[in-house]
Amino acid sequence: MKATTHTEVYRPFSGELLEHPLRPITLARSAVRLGLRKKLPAFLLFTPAVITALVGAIRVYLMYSFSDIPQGQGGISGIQGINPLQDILGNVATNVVIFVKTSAYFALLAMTWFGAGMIADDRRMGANLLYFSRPLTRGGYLMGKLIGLMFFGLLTLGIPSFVILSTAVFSSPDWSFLRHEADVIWKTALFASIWILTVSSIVLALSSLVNRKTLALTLVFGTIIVLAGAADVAANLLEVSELRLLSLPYNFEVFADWLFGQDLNPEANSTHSLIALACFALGGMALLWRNVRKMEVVG
Amino acid sequence: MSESSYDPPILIETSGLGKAYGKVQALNDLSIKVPPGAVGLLGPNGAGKTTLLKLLLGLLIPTAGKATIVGQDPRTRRGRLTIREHVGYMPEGDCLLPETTGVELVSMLGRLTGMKAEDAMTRTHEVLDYCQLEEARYRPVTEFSTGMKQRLKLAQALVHDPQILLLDEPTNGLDPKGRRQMLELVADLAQNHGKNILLCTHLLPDVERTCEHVIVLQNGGVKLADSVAALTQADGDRYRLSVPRGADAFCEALPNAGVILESREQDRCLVRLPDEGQSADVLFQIAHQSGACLESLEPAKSSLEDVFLSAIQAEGEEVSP
Repeated sequence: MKATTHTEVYRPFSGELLEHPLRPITLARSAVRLGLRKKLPAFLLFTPAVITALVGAIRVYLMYSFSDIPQGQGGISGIQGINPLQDILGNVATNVVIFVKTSAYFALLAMTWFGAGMIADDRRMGANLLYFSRPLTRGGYLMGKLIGLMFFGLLTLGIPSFVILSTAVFSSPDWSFLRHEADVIWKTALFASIWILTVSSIVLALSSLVNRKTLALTLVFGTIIVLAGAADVAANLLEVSELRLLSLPYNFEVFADWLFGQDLNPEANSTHSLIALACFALGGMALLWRNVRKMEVVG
Repeated sequence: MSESSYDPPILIETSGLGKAYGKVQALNDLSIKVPPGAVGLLGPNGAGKTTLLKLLLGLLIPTAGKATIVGQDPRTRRGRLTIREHVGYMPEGDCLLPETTGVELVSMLGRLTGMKAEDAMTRTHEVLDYCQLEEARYRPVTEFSTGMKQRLKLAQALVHDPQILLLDEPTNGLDPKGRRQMLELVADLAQNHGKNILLCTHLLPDVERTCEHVIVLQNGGVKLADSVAALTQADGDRYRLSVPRGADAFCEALPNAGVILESREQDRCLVRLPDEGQSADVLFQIAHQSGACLESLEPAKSSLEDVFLSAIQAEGEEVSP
């Protein structure tokens, strides 16, 4: 038997509504909380990112520790053209880039898992009726979902990159990594930002096309993996290297190589890959905007 | 929010409102004025009730005409956002996100309306208590019964203390106990807390129990709109009688006095006097003359069901009594 309590009366609300509430943040927090509710997927998806970060940080630390850097060589003197610290810093930068690129693929997995249901589940349950019966604009809804998914990207790509870079900075003698390889830091931030934004827009756009998370997952992996494979096969068969521009991973590889000044594939064209990435991101956003509009105005 | 400066005599008004889904005309030239208080929006399935609610919230775009609610036009962006601040909407479908708890869902929707985090959380607990979900508030909504889900949807509609509630089939799928609980809440909100409620349903007793006014929709148009009291008031010339002895003789004698026997079920009769305003004494005289025993006599009232059925009978629609 349930006791009737004194609280079961209707109380008028005496507060006031905020003039400019941060509705996208509220929506993003809710999306993150829901995403992290299931512990096993979260554990499985975050573990590789954590391992990558740890291995990367330890490797970078060891590269400094076991190298023969003469005392007082924090500033690169370039004596007789031989500079051990310069070589080490270069190796460290290369390793940072490798680990960041590796983390990016784990981030893709995590963002796909957490993002696939973000809009598909809303569509399946009709939760858009609850959201859009509030003073929430479609822009606010879209921003909320994007911020929520980008948070998972930040956890799986941004934080591992930050850990590895921090190790490189703090382990280097006399802040030499910061003074001589600072461009690696902002380039990593730029690469991670573009990766997270592009993947978020694609995942959410595909999630907004279907009503089930499993379908959205299939669609995302199908689009990225199948398209990448098909583009590669077609490029080889037809000997048209431009067909590889349909592959998201290929374009990111080219972009990363160009950004970090690594040796480019001779067939690759960084400008074309950048344009292709922009098309992926903007196409995803356009599709997302169109579908969210249909969710706000339901018929 | 609770002390709004807006207090118009007409809360909702539509003029020539139309909505078509392809070739299907859901609403056709609908012009209604919804007064403050509890108003029942009745109609058979497919009459356009849910479409009207969505048009009022700006969730649908009309193909013709216009509507205003709380003085705002839902076709404009500013109007939509203002309306959604002042209106609480309880959708018909099961639209609750499965992995959320009651507290999370209601407080999140409160914050989306513009409440501060602390206010939203306090208010969430208050409305969940009010909707008798206090013990279930931390359970995932997947574990909720249908009745609990319906009450949770009411709680989320109430969280920002709106002046108008649009309730779409709130008793849908509920057992008698759950239905009674829901109707008690709706009636309490309307009668004791001054909420203006547009109750959309096809269940006549729900409206009869909670609403002061009723609007009957059919095939996208208005069939009837009046106060429940006016629609169900006693007819001056019709009476229900109970004649436990001599009913046959009594009924045979009625035509001689010009009284029309409308219906008879064993010893219960429904009769109409020849002239409106005529005294019922004639019935006692007939009973005396025919040797019948008249046990009870009361003015006959039309039930809302009678009114509703007669309003839509011409179209031959099926309704749920």
